[in-house]
Amino acid sequence: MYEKENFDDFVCTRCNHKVRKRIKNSLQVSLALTICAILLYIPAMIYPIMEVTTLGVKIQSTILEGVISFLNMNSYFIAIVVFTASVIIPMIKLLGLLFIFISLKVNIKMSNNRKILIFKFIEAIGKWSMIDIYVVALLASIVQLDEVFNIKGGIAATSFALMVIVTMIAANRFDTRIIWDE
Amino acid sequence: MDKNIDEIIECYNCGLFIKRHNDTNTKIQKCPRCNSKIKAQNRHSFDSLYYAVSALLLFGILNVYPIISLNINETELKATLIGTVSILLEQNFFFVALVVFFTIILAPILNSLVIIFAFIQEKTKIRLFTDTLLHDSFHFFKHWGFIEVFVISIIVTYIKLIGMVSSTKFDIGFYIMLAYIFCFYMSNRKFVGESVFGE
Repeated sequence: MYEKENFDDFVCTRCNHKVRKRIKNSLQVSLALTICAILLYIPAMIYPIMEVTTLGVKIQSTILEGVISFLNMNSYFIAIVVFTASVIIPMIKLLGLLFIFISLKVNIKMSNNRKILIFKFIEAIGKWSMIDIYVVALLASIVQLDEVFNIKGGIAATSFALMVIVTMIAANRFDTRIIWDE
Repeated sequence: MDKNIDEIIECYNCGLFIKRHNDTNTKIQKCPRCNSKIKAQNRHSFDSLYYAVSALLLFGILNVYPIISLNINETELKATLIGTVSILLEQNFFFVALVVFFTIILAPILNSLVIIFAFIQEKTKIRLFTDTLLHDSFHFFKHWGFIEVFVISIIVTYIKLIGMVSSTKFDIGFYIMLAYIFCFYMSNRKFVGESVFGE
């Protein structure tokens, strides 16, 4: 193992980026973004994500109602996929990040290796929450028969998309090396 | 006191400085502290360029054909890649439209273009972009391109639609997209971002 003597900032001669020991304010920024994402998750779940018009009758559905409709159609596999991608994954991401951030300030009995594993898992599953947004966009683009049969996005789509992006930035901005700092 | 740091690598996950293995057969080294994989520098291959060019061509064709189509009362309804973005704009979902446009169209295209330009700059004297810009762009667009998520979304949409309209079917665009995903994935897999610095 090699012990570095000097941790002052310097500019990399190859890529011209500033090299720091740790990303500046990594924990603060990531924590702020995670809290922001938690707040966005609430309207994303409460408000309708889709509006279906069939023969002039408008029916709005939230993410959870969409999952229930898949269950009613006996599409259990897709119901599980949508439920996992839109409800479970965002929740795991937000709680997981929050847990890692809190564990840096509060003494929680968990090895750093496990924290890194949780973080890697959160990073890997990040983008899969976008499934619901793409499904709404696809359905809205294909089903356009005016009042006969029409699908539109709902207001929850914006908060859900924002929540996914903000969570991804929070995970991306977090410097995992600070987990190991004493 | 000067030290030879050519053999020193930092574990990006825990910040530990480790001596690089000299064994050329083992491409992956593990960090002794956090057990994360530390990738040794691979030499990237020309295959990446061929896959990137193929991916771009397939992407062009993909936009011509519909991905899913269905028939209701003799009316043919189709969904295209661009259509998914434009409908969101029509319905005033500007932010969602921007996110969808960026993640499924712009980022994958720019990702392939960065790879192509990296090879052009490496093999010719043409210098259109700085090495740093190419390197950073490659990692940025790779991270924010969600085209594989979009493919799963198409399958979910198909299953949702077939429950409502039995004439729903995957169209040519979907099959082209599968080929595109393969080329796109391979071009990224065989490209080493650090190679733009020419060392």
